[in-house]
Amino acid sequence: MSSISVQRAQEARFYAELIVPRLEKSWSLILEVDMKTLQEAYLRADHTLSGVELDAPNHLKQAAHICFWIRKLKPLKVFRFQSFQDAFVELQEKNLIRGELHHIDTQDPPPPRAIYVNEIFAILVAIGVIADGGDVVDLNKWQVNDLAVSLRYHSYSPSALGAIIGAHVRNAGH
Amino acid sequence: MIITSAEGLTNEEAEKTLRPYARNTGKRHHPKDAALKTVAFLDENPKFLEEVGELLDSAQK
Repeated sequence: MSSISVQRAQEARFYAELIVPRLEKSWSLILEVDMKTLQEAYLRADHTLSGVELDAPNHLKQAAHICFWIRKLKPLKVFRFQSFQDAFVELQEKNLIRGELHHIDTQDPPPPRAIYVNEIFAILVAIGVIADGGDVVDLNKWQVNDLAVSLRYHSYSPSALGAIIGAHVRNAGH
Repeated sequence: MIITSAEGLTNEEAEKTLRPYARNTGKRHHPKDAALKTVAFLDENPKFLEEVGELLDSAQK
């Protein structure tokens, strides 16, 4: 039987399987998910949450910590289809590989927004965790833009992130 | 979506990352429930990611 750590590591897959395809579709990108890194982000969030010395850190704290670790460890990267296609054709010419590549709707080179995939993914995970706790994140597109840019270029602790995200949370009943 | 390191962390790595004292932190969110809430949020705001992407593109120009 798997230990708790192993079970929890496996749970992290849901972030990738459910959220990443939405990001890919909206931004016409193919994303590569390093599952080990995503699992580590999730487990490290659990670990650092224990440092807040509460028996049950609330959903805001949980959201801040997972957001922090995803943004720090960066489990996503943009897959460059063009370079893959070039390598594929070269191997085909050397008769080392057979088959054909079907057209994939992706932007190559990727648009400027692509450098923010990890920050946006971290924010989307945080929105889900907070909503799962019964609250609503009131972030409009400009605020998400600012937060993503700030997350990329400035330093944040999980507590600072919690304060920022917390400022945009309202109780679902109000 | 392409998944690399799809086998994930080894048992030893997972154990090492999540130390025993971190195991009892009360009610935790489950990634599946949280991710489904994110999906619901995006369904309610179908243009959200696209519009954020446009803003991020313009910020880089």
